Amino acid sequence: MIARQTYLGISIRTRRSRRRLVIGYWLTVLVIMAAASYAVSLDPGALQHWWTLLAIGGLYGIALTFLGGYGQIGPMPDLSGDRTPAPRWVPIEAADALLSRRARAAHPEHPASPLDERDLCLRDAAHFQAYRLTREWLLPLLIAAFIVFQYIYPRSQFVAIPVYAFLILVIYNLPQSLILWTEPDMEASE
Amino acid sequence: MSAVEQNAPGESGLYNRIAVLRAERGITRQDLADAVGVNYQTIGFLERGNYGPSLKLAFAIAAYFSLPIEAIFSTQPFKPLSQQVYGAWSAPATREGD
Repeated sequence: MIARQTYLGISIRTRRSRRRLVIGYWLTVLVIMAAASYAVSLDPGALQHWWTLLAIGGLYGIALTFLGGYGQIGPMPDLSGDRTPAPRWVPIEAADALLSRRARAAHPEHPASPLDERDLCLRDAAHFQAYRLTREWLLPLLIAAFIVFQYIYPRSQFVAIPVYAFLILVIYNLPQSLILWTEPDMEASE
Repeated sequence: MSAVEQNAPGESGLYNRIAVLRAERGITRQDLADAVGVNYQTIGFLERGNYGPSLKLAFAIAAYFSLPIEAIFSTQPFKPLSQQVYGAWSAPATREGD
C-alpha cells in the first residue's frame, strides 16, 4: 500500500522509519494540545480570538494532509479507493492528430495502481481497529481524566475544547497511523 | 524458495505455489501483478502467506498460469513437486535420538 520511499525528505522505506514518523506526528500533536490546554486554562477568553480559530483551522489542515489517506498528499495513497486518478487526454503521434487516447494520469508520487483488494482490506481493518481503540481505550480514558481534572481543578471545563479537537484528530488520523505502524516491509519487485 | 518456505501457510492459513511457479517460468512479481491487476507488493504478501486472496484473484492467478486453482492454492501443505512428478519419496531415515 505504501508506495512512497520518502516523505518530506524523511525516508519511510522501512517499518521502523514509518513508526518514527507516526510517533513524531502524535508527539507533536500532544505537545500542541497540551500547550493549547494550558493557554486556555490561563485565559478562557482566548477561545474567542480570531487567531485561535485560525490556529485551529490551520492545525486541522495540516492534520488532514500530513499523514495522507484522504487526498493525494501524505505518505499513503488516497484511501477512498473508488476514485481512480483523473483521466487525461494524451495526444498520440502527430500523424494521428485527430485521434487521442484516454490514459490514466498517474500521480508522480503514487505510481502504483489504485488500491487493490489487499489495500482495501487493510484500509477497512485499520478503520475498524481505530474505532475499537477509540471506543474501548481512548474515550473512557479521556472522560475519566476530564472528570478527575474537573474535580481537582474546576476551570478544566475550558480544557475540554482542546481535548475535543484532539479527539477529532484521532478520528481523522488514527487509521493511517495504524497502517503506517503495522504494514510490514516488502522487498522491491524483482 | 525452499520447501519449508513453500509449505509455510503464514497468517492466511493458505499454502500456495506462486513463488515456485513464478521462478519456474521466469516471471517477475510485477509481471504477475500487472496481469492480475494488483500491486506487486500484494504478490509478495500472497507468496509469503501473509494475505489470503479473494476467489476472484485466486482464479485470475490460476488462469494466468493455466493451472487448476487447487494446483496453486491449498489448505494442506503441498507435496514437493519432484515427488508429485516422479512418484514416491520418503524422507531420509533419522537416527534414533534425533
